[in-house]
Parts: sequence; structure tokens; C-alpha cells
Amino acid sequence: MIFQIKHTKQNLFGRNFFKIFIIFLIILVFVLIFNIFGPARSLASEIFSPFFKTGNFFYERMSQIPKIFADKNKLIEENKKLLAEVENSRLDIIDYESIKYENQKLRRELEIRPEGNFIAASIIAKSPQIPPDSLFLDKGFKDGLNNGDLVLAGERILIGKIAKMSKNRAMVALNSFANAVSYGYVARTNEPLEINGGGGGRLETKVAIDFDIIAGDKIMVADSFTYLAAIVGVVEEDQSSGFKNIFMSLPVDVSKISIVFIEPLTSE
Amino acid sequence: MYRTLYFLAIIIFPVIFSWWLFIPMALFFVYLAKLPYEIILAGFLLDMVYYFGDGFLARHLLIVFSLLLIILALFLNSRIHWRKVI
Repeated sequence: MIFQIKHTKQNLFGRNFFKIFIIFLIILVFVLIFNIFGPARSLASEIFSPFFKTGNFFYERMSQIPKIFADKNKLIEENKKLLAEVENSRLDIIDYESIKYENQKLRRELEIRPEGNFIAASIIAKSPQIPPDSLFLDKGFKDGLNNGDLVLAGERILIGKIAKMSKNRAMVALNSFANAVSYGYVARTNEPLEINGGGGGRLETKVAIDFDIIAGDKIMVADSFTYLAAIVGVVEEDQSSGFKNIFMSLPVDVSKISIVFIEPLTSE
Repeated sequence: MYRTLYFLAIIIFPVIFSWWLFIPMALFFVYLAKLPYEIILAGFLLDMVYYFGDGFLARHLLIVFSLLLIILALFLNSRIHWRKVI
């Protein structure tokens, strides 16, 4: 019996290369066409919203798991502590009401813009669900938001800017977003400095070694109003280079907030 | 059937749990299925909601990753013995 050995030609692209390539091109064209249209982004945001909310709920529940395994005596102690805190809070509320009244009165006298001009938005998702130093909000251009609008955690606490938007949803880039740059000044000395986002909730800058700055200094940003943008955490002196490395953090813990306020750019 | 389910999972799981899950899931998809073009669509959809920064690469980070992965798989298609699990 004679066997003949046949060599199969190994084509680099294979037999079905063109078929595969056409499918590949069709998908690519489809993606590019939909990328141009704005409504596609709105649609995607709408579709993903329930999943983002599910994830947010999941992470909130996850943070409560350690409490399930807490010791009973510890819980009794915690309960006592909480009762005391409730009493303190009750007294604080009474104080707050009187301060609020005084604040409103002063606002009227000084003609300071009322609080009502801010747009309140709920946070649907935050890191680790979405990329670090970003927030996913439940308001979009339909609600009057614009790219670049300032995002505040309190009335004068600036945490970031609107970076990406669809009809009903918006993505916020926090001041600590990698490579984000903002310009502010030290509240204590009024000396200007550049604030660079370092990623992971970190803000940093480099200043001359004789620059007057200490840990705990507040960094303000002046826009239509003055906002608190960062708090100095660590100051490292580098004698060899003649610079100080300043490490800052956002004024609030973003993981603990669920509502933000957006100040439209057009407002004065 | 499993391929479709995995495609849905690759879109939904990163949204619910964490964005970076897309990367290992896409790599695993290439291992499980032969030339999974679906990852381009998944990358495209996720790129529309996530924000990685400005600039072309940052705006299309996941889709670029998917495209590179598929192009690599396309060239290796005839060179390696492909496990077609799903």
C-alpha cells in the first residue's frame, strides 16, 4: 500500500479570511456610525442605569456585611453611643434651624445668590463600579447641564466638573481625576498654585521650597464664587531639587455622598 | 446560545461590579470562543458610558482594546489550534 503525504498550505490569513474580514468591517462601520449619533449614548446610558443602580446597591450592602458578624457587647455599646449621638443631633438641629434663619436673613441683606440655583443630582454609580475619580449622575442635558459645569458636594465645596453627558445622565470627572488640572490658591496666604489630579482621590502639586504651605491648609478655587477644592495632607521637602511636593485630598469623602449639586456655567 | 449569554455577561457584569472586569472577560472570551467579534460591540457600549479622560485613546479605550484583541486573534486564527469551547 502506498501512502502519499500531502502538504497543506498554511495561509497566514486562513481560508475564511475575507469572510471574517467583511464581518469585522461591518461591525466596525456599525460602531462608528452609532458613535457619531448622540442619541446612541443616551440610549446606552438608559439601558445601563438599572445595572449601575444594582451595582451601587450591591456595594452598599457589601459595606454592611462586617456588621452582621459584630460582637453582641460591641453592639450594645454602639447602641448606647448612637443614642447619645441622636440626642446631640437633636440639639444640633435646634442650633441649625436658628443658624439657617440667620443665614437666610444675611443672604437677603448681602444679596448673595440663593441656594435654589443649583441643580441637585443623585449619584447612580461611583468607583469601583466605574473608572476611578468619576461619578455617574442621574441628570443630563435635558435637565440643563452642560459639559464643564461645576459639581459641588456642598454649597461651596467643589469636587469636579461634568465631563461627559447624555440626555438624562452625566459623568463627572473629579478634581482628582488623573491629569486633571485646576488653578487655585492657598486660603491662608492667598498664594496661587496649580492643582494636578493624581488619580485615586489624590491631588498633588510641586512648588518652590520657600513656598509657604503646611498640612491642613485649605486650597480654594475662584470661579463665579470661591470654592474649597482641596485640603493639604502631606508636604514633602526635597532639598536636592529645591522643590516641595504637596499631596492633597478632596475636601469630602466621595464614597460617603449620594447627592451632588451642579452649578451651571452660565450663572453669574 | 452560550456565546450569546457570555456576550450579555460581558456587558452586564462590568457595569454591575466593576469596569475593569471587561478586560479579563474579553480575554477569556477569546479563549472560549473562536473570533468573538461581540467584544467590539461590548467595548463600544461601555465606552459610551464610562469616562477615562479626553483624547482619542481615552475616549475609545475599551473599543481600541477589543479591536487589538480581535486583530491579534484574526492573525493567529490559522496559526494555532483554537479551542472552540462555546
